Amino acid sequence: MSRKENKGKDGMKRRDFLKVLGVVGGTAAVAGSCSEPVEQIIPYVIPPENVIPGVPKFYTTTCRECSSGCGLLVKNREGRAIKVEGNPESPINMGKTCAVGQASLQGLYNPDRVRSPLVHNPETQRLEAIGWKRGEEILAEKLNSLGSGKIVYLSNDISGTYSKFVAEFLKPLGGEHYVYETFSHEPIRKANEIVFGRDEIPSYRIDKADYLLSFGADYLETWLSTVSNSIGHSKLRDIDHGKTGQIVHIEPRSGMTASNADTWIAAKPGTEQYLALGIANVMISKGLNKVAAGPVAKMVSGYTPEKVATLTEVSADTIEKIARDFTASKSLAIGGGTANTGSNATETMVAVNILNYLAGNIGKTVDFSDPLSISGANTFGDMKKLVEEMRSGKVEILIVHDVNPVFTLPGELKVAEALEKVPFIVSLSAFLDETSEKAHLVLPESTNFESWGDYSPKKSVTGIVQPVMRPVFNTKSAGDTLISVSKNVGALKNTFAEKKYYDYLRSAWKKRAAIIAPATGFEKFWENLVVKGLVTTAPAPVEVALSPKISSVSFSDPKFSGEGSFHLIAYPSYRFLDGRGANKPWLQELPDALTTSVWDSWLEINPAVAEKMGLEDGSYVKVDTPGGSFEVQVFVYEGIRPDTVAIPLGQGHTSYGRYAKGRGVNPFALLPAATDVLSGGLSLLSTKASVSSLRKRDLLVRTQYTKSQGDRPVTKTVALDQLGHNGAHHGSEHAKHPDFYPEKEYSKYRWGMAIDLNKCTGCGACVTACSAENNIPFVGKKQIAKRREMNWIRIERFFEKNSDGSLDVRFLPMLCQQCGNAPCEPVCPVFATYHNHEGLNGMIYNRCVGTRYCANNCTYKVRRFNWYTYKFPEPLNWQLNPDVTVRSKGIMEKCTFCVQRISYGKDLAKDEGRLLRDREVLTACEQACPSDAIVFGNLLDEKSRASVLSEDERGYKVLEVVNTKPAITYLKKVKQERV
Amino acid sequence: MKRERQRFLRIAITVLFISAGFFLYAESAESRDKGPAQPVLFSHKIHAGDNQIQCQTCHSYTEVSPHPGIPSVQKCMGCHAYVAGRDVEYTTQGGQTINIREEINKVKGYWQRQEPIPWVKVTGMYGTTSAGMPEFVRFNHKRHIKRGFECSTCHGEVEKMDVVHKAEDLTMGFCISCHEENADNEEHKTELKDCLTCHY
Repeated sequence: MSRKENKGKDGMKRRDFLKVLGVVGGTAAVAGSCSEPVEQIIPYVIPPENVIPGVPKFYTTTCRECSSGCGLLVKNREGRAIKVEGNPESPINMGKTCAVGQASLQGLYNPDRVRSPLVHNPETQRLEAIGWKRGEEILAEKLNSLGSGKIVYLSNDISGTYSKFVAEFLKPLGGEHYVYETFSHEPIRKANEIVFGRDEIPSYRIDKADYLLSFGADYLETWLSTVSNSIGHSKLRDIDHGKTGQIVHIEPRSGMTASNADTWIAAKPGTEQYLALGIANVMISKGLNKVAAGPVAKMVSGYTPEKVATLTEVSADTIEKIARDFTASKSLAIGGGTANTGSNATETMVAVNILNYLAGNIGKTVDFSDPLSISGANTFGDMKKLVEEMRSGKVEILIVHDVNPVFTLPGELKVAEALEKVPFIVSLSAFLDETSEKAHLVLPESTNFESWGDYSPKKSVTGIVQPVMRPVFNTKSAGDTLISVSKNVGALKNTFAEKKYYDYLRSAWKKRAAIIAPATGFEKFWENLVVKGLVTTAPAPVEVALSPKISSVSFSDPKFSGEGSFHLIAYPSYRFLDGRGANKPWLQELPDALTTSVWDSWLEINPAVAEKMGLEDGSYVKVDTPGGSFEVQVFVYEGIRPDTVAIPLGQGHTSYGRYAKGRGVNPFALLPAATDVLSGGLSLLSTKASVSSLRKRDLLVRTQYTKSQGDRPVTKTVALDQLGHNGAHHGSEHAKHPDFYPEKEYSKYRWGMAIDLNKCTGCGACVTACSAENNIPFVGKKQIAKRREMNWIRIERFFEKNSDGSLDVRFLPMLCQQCGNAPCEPVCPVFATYHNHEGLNGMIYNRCVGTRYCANNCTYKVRRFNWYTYKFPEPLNWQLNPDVTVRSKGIMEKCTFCVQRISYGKDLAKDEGRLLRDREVLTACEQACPSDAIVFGNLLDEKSRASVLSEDERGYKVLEVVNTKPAITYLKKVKQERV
Repeated sequence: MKRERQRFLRIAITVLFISAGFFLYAESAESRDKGPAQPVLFSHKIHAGDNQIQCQTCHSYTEVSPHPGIPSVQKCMGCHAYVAGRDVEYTTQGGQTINIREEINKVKGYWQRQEPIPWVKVTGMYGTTSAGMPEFVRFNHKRHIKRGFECSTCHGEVEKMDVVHKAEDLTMGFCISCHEENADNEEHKTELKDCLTCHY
């Protein structure tokens, strides 16, 4: 074909045209640069005082996610809160946090928060936005025209100044204040009143105990003050000269707490009291008791070990051994969880108190001088009464503040129906939950990150709550709203002299300061308070003696309703508590410690039963109870008795935002309003259920489907009596393998980590902390079903067997091992991952082209791939850490030991012309870890804590045989003689 | 031959029109000053050159933060509440003519409205134009200033520019070559080769 022939009719070839266009286009681009994006820099109009862009500020405040009241330090960058850390000054949490605390900023930035006041429109039957002025006017009008009915203020545990404030607000109106906590532990209070004459919950000092005997108390999950308990647990797990503490846990199922005990005893549900009485019986009959038994002797005399063995299905030998061990060391008995929720719960707690009394623990590990504030909550009986009053129309105005009784009170009470009978409901909550939805008026409060306040978790500690940023939405603190409303209410006109709740709070503290620190001026005192975040006082010791009331207690069998063959345990979830955490995507996506399930509910069932019924993981079953039925997928679990099934609480919302709504089932809804006889507390363990197979099965979405580690010893254990025999250290574990390549050399730093498996409880605080620090997206259930989860650190969980055949649950935090001989590095075609001179396995996002070879070759499966550009819906994206790149579709990512923190630390050290000191840089996971299991540091510094621990005789590397030379040393879990 | 000539003419005319269009468009969009047009014609030459104001007077965080800081409107007004500016015409190096007092009045307008001035970013890290620094690059002003580098090393002679433009292309090559020249020892060079120094 000749060129001429190929020309078009008009003589201009397509190729020529393109040439011309190319020249012209290129010139134009150079000259005009018209297509360049323009980026703007927006300066402040008036710069805020003390804010330096690029330099973080930390503000103290107090966590209000549960009643523990941990002290917090909130990291603030350019006016936005971006990360929560524990306040090291707080005696409650000592700088540590839990997963719920780490996710708390997703409450502040939750896209489903109420953004402005809402009023119910009777025509459309919907809540519609109004202005603050009109909203407050409506409330004032209602208060002014209050008739003969009652006004009730219903809130969660708000000890401190705000409770006094509410009392002042209600007094002229003749109103009542109900403090409602779903799990208010009434049986513990009642039992303390019966045994010691003190209607309160003391501080249980796990940190001072060597032997912990827990009757169902899920102290690592939801029981009282979990971070504080975890710190105590960690101390108990310290190994000193071949000795360590021991934990015995009694519960029908092995939850996270039981799984961390040395011995788990699955007593028959509801019979824990007999077990405690049997132990007490042995103590007295063998003369082991340290305190004169007095009237107790008669109470326990009938409960011989043999008799108790038949009642509880626990052997007499075990009972005797526990009695001996319990009295032989600094011990503590605690009761809670399932043992605390039967119809005989108070009796069980009385029996537990007897143990502590006989062992002389009162005043030592049981500290009545420092009671918890949750002691002041209303009982379930009070709540029942309130619901009846609402139903009968006695309540005219109901103010709901941060509680969700429609969701958390048992279905039998029919709270939603009772609310229909209340003429006017105003909600001060920040979210539209099942209760707020029923309100006639919503005056949304600012969260505790946006408002002033204080909270006293126990007598000795009062924490300050201060705003760490400006309100995200058009909201006001509840205190400000009420003050503002009171100015237009006749009866309240002169109640408050202050204009703002902040002023009210300060005047209250002025009075306190005059008592606590009379020498310091108030302004100085206030400044110290806000900087430190809390004040502590030393409570005076109290004398506790046995109350004569104790003889009145008789012990009875638990009562169950329903005909089914299984005891139904509905247990509080450590992720969602009573359901309040379900709207935070990081908590939904935090795999449950035992099942590793996400975004869902499940029913735990024993393997023997499952086999008989033809059930497997993910099979659907119908659970029938007298209160109704629900359908749910099963998880076949060895850690539960065959006569029991268990389901977590907290899911099954019908409202409460996009992340909570329509996931799993809500067991509260079908529970009867059964109570513990003596205390009137809610009885969760009160139902027998029948379970029938629905003959269908689907994937129960989890992050780990294997239950056993098989023949690959990922998690290792060592017997306590084996320790200290291998010379100083180094067994075969540290033997050097021959290597083809020369050793890598490091000059200043070799970053490494030591993780103590004897301390790790599997609580997941590290996982959520990592997500918050490193801008890790949540991907949802569908993506996780495709194994596309994004967490950089995960908790591996294995169900193994002890030598006696009993269940041995092991947890192992798995993150990038920063291998010295990394399999991911040589397979990357573009050098996006490499080993750096400080021992980090670098991951360079801008080089990555997304081949995923590295993830395929990773021994530890810790690399995560962005299948999509995952979104943080506005304003969740406000929390993004500006020091970490937000990854987009097609990029591989993984842990780099928080390299942004190392870099920040090095910058500060360089200012002083020195190297980083040990503990100066903490990784996010380490900083959060409440049990202090994770220690990061420089392995070149022989004295660094990480170095010392890495050389420990318990140290080993995971899958060392592959010769990846990980920088993370795991310390074997210690096994001791079981009861 | 006639055909060939016709073809050449067609191409020539097309080139002429298209390029004229682009050039005209470019001319109208911007002056001949090299930098991008700003909401206020703030002359660094008048401030830093003629009046000898130090860079850090306005960019005050260079020594304490990774970010140098852009002065707040309040800072501008700190002086311009008193300095009204001469009511004279001023011609920039690029040939734009402005009235100094009118430009200052624009700043006062922002202050009265309590609005920030939406400055256009000049010193992006990417290429020769004004695109912003990509998110995956970490640059710390503080370290460079503390080491004793002049601002002009990277930003050019800003005190001689009426309209600031990007003096160096500020790509990775620019960073690396300067770091190589200034490395004290082999260790510094090792750090230089570490991607994680700047990318995370």
